[in-house]
Amino acid sequence: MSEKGTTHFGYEQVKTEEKAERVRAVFDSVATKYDLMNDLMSLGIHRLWKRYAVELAGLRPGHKVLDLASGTGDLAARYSGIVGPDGLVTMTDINAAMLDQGRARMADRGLIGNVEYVQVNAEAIPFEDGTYDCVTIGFGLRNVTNKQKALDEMFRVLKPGGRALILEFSHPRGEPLKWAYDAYSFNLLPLIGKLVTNDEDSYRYLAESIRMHPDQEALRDMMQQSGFERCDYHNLTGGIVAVHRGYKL
Amino acid sequence: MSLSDLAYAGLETAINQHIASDPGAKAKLAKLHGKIIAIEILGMGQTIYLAPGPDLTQLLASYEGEADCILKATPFTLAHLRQPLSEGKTALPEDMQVSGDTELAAEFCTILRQIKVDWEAYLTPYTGSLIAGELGKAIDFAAYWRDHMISTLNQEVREFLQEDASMLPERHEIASFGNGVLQVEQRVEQLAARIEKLQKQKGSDN
Ligand SMILES: C[S@@+](CC[C@H](N)C(=O)[O-])C[C@H]1O[C@@H](n2cnc3c(N)ncnc32)[C@H](O)[C@@H]1O
Repeated sequence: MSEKGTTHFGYEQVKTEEKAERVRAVFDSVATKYDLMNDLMSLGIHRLWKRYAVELAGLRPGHKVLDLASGTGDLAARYSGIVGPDGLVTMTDINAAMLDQGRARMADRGLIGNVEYVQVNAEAIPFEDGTYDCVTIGFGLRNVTNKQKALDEMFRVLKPGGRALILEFSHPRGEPLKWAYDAYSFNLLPLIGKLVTNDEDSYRYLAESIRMHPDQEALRDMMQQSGFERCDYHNLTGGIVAVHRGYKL
Repeated sequence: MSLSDLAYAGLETAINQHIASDPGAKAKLAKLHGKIIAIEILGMGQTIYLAPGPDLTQLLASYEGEADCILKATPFTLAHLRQPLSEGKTALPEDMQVSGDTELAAEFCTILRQIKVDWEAYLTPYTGSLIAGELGKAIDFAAYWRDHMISTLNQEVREFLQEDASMLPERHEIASFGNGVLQVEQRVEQLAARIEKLQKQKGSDN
């Protein structure tokens, strides 16, 4: 439980208004080397997690999809491929540097025409109710200060029948895996962070923020509280990562 | 035996490597952006969905909508797409069943013929007996790992981490890890061949 007016920044308690600023600083410092870090940190498995999430999104040509916290756009790129020229991917991030990186990468890949870029805070989505067939957030929700508010917003901008997808680090099942994962993320991960981006603290924050994130059941409850129905989740790699899914019926 | 997530990822990478080496095919596929092509692999009860795009042709294990066209073929028929087309034949093999947009199907098959994917190599491990299938998975995993370690770690890390290189595994260490994986992979292959031989012997003994 947070004290009034404060929130978690990793394991630290910080003032609520300070958190967004500090999260921004973390991602500013890692933006350019983000893709490399992703590969090193998960030994490439993040690609499989993302593929899995994309299939659960149930996208079809012509669909409109909003991707929150897009970062450099791994998910958005796949969406753009599937929804085709008649569809639309709104790629967003709270961080302008990250979004610029993402835009450049999408253009490099020839993904233009069905992608738009908007700087968006997931807690206050600047789009009308009922706009999207699908709203997703990949490895982003744990950075959001008021997660419930973000879920409410995701629900609001969905069309009836649309679905939301949350891909996020979660809580591994089983003690040995938990232990190995802790050892990895608290020791090895900050070290890799230090070597690649010269920024150990940012990666320590990432490890801590993962631990502070609600577990599978808690997040599903939160989704239900925002109005989502038929909520389920799929554990990947023993629950190190989970994909939550919910519908606006 | 179904294709694992890893096998899909591996097959997707392989197909896209074939595509990348043929700019003509790449341009043709980019024009099919927004189409979904299903390939039902007969005998495996498995359907692969392909979503061509400007950068990547994605491979999906499931698709909730209706594909624009469905090609039904055995791995054998798919393998034959690598053979040159004999005169007077159409791009669609005779023993391939097609439903939906047949024009799209023909166009897609033309591209498949052009890029010459070795389907058999990717699918055979999954069409054998259960045990061969399990070994196939292991081979696939080892191959994916090796390629991934070598390509990601060797190129990119070298660029970014030159100064800190002493703190990271050396290139030769990574290469030797890759080679280790390769050896395991070869041993698994040999083992698979031996098991197959034994199974055949056992079969003829009865
Ligand atoms: C770990 S990255 C994920 C990138 C991408 N989705 C992926 O899966 O590779 C997290 C992103 O969340 C963004 N972020 C943090 N807080 C946010 C917020 N309140 N609203 C939107 N994006 C936010 C960060 O700027 C960062 O780009």
